[in-house]
Amino acid sequence: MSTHVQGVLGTTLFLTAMMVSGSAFAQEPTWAILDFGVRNVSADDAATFRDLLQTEISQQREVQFVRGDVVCADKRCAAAEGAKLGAEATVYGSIAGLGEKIIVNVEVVDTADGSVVRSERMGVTRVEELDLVAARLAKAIATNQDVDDTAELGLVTTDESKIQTRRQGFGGVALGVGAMTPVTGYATVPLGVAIDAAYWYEASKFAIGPRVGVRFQADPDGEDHYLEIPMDLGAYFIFGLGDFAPFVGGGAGLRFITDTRRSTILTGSVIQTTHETNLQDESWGLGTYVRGGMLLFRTYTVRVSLTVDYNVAWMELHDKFAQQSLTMMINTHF
Amino acid sequence: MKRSTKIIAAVVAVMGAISVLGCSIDTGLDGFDDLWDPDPCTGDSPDLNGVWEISGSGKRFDCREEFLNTDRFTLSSVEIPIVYDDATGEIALGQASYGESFEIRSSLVDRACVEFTTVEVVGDQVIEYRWDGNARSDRYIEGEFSGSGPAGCQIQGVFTMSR
Repeated sequence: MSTHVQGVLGTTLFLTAMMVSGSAFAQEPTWAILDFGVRNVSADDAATFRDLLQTEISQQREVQFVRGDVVCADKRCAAAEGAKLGAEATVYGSIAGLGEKIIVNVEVVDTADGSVVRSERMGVTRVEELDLVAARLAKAIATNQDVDDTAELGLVTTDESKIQTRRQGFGGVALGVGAMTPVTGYATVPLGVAIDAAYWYEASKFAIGPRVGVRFQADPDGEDHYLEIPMDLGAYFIFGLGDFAPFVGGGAGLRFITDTRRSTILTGSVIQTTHETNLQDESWGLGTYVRGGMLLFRTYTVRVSLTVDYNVAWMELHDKFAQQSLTMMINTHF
Repeated sequence: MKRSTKIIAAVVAVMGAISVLGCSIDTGLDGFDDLWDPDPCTGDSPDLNGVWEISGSGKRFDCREEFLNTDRFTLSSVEIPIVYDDATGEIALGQASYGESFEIRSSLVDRACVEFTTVEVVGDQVIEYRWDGNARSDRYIEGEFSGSGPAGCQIQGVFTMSR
């Protein structure tokens, strides 16, 4: 059993036992509350906080307090002082200023065995918010909740309402152009044109982004022709932070392909007819690709990448499943 | 010239012009020419015995499979041995290696007019042609054909047969 689970069970049993004893004997359990240790915070503010905490706990649960004017820094001291005062549990802690922050630590120890029943910490940036801290810590102690779970309207501190600081990436539009070589499918033409428009979000070690593109045969007068529209989301791992950074990755998405082939149609065997026609087939389907590439001029805001993709469109066209191609592109990232 | 003569001449000229223009504009009236066509089946029945080849062209439409529809296809055949019975005026398929996949049905030879039907089974499809030709000699027939199949197609075209 983990330490955390043991702690929660112990706290629950402890608090339940005290509630049972309180109701059974119609007598409120006695807790001691000691003076808080103070560093870089005025003694008056600390005393006020202790008063607020005592009041809030009393409002949350039936308990009577005895006060001790000793400052303890550890549970053994707190348990001893609580025993002297005839208390079943002892509340002690510290209030310390750390730069612009005020950090409040509160612990509750079982006087009988000296074990820590609850240990909570909160930080605020303004001393005026110590009343919120007292209310939140009291609720956490009284109801056996994590202090983070005691937040409600009117009890949220300025620190908690701040937007969490996140690591920044760099995002922008990327445009690419290149060549596509069909491997299977794609009207069996030898060479195609590939054009992509993408959003490229780049962090130090990875990049992600959606792209939409178009692929078509290079010869505009060719009898056989195709059109592919890939719409994918890709993710890539970037090796290195320099101006020449290789990367690998892949992606998946939706593909549309229309594939038209000039074909000779024969009917009959004794009496035969022959004619030429365009056989067209088209479909939507899942598309996947793997990509390797080199990111150039990475330390600049406008970068260039060279990429090679192997694409598979998982659909059946002209009775053949899985249309495959190789795409080589040069991309500019703005 | 008397005035009445001039009027009659003018009326005749106008009516003549109307007749000419009317015939040129209403091409549908040209169909009446057929009423005066000579009987196409004149002449003696040719000797049709022998090995014939058919060629031609046509169009195919109303097919269930779109790729079979076409405004123009070319038609050819392998060598088809024909046996002609001039007593009954019927033709039949001679010795050939088609098996039961190809046969000649409901034929009729009336002097130079040659009509017959061929049926070919290819896979699960049946292709039927109705040939309606005119023998220009005992070695050459030309005419029109119609038919059906495969995939529900309707067929029309022109053909020649030679040997």
